[in-house]
Amino acid sequence: MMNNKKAQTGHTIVKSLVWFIFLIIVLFSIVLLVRTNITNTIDIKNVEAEVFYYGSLSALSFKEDLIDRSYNGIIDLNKFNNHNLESKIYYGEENYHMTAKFTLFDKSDNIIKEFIYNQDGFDKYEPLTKSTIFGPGSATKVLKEIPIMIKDNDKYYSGLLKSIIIYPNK
Amino acid sequence: MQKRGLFFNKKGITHQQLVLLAELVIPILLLVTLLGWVNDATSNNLIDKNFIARDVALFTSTLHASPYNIVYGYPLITETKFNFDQNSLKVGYGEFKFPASYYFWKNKNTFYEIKEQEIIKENLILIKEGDYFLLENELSKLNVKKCPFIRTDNIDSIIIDPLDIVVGDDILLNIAERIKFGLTNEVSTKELSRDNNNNERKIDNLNAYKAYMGLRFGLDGNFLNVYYSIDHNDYLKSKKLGCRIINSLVELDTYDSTNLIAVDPDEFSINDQESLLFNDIGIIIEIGNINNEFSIQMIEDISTKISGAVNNYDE
Repeated sequence: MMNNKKAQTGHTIVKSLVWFIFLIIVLFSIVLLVRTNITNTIDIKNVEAEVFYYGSLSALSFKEDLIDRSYNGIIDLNKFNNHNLESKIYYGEENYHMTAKFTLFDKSDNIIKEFIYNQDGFDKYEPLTKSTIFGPGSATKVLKEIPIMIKDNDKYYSGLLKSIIIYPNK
Repeated sequence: MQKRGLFFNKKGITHQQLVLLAELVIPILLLVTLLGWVNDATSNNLIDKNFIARDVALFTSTLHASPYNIVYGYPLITETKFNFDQNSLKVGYGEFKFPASYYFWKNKNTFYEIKEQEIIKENLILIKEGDYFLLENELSKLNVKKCPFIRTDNIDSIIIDPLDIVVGDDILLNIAERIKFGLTNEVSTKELSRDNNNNERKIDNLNAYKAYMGLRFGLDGNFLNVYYSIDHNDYLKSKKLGCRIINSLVELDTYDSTNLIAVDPDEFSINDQESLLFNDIGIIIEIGNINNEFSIQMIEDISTKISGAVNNYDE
């Protein structure tokens, strides 16, 4: 068989293909080994959720324009809406990064007002938080609860702000 | 049956050469690309880029949470390239291969002055002015005001508010001594005591002073306030004095490698709970992190500079 020149050429091609595929496997093995042994990514999603949360509090808080001072413990009911928060915390036209639900309760645990930041994201990622398999494709839920003062025009009363912050695990 | 063509030539040896050539060229191309990535990963560039991209992105978001104008210096060890878009940034080195990118949030109305690629050597200066945001390679003279020469000679005490700072009393006293030495020989140093449970502060002889000028050293959650008491007659001049101090700090060469938040005294308004302790406070300057030896050196430099600003002007 090997005395046939066409067979020789065919044999060379097949041999080269095998060699080439083997080479590709070796090269990508190097990359895979490096990836598994060296940490190249830093997961800051949890910190990011914290920054988002405190940024949200700042955006929803009462601000005295006269002296340009904001009171982070006082939630302004007029500013407690999605439109206001999305203008202050803007991730771009498509937000695949963060979604949240904010609910205000009074002292008797009655809901006073609630809204969802990034509704599309919430619908998409909230079911993923129930996943029992973690990692890419799932989502993480962070719960926050703080006592606050609620400012309803000229009235002030105490209440509770419960927040659910959800971010996808990418 | 086809008798001519690349793999049907009777001169099989030529085909073998072609195949061999392909076998050499393609793997070499792949090898160069992949080893470039591997080299990037193993030389820690990748982790550095990822870290800086995330850190700056988080920090940029934080800056947007502030309603005030801010100039902030982000120190860098090596020359780094930044590419800011409206909601994301890329960080790279050298030829900007395999840049690390991350996203951040901002106010919807904030506009970024986009530049193709910004090469930053030592300090990434982030400037937020209203709805305008830009980055620079070096501190601009935005904060430098032309201050008239004034005299404020009644600075007679230094009050240090440790707040939640983690440094020990010895370091606080060290700082106080340095600043005291920089001002005048007769100045007395007072340390402010704090009751963390009630969030109250006590200052000895508080009523003796009608106005204070505060200098804040450190970052949030880890800073200390230094208040210079000023005679009430000189309060109206304290803004100008603060202006001089800011100018002197901005002009300080060694300061480029440290964190800086300078608050324009003309635009400054009281927004800080601690500041409200002193009704007549003229100015707060927030400076760097004191939680290491380098910062002690920095404070020494700053105190020397402040003493120059306070004492060496024309009457």
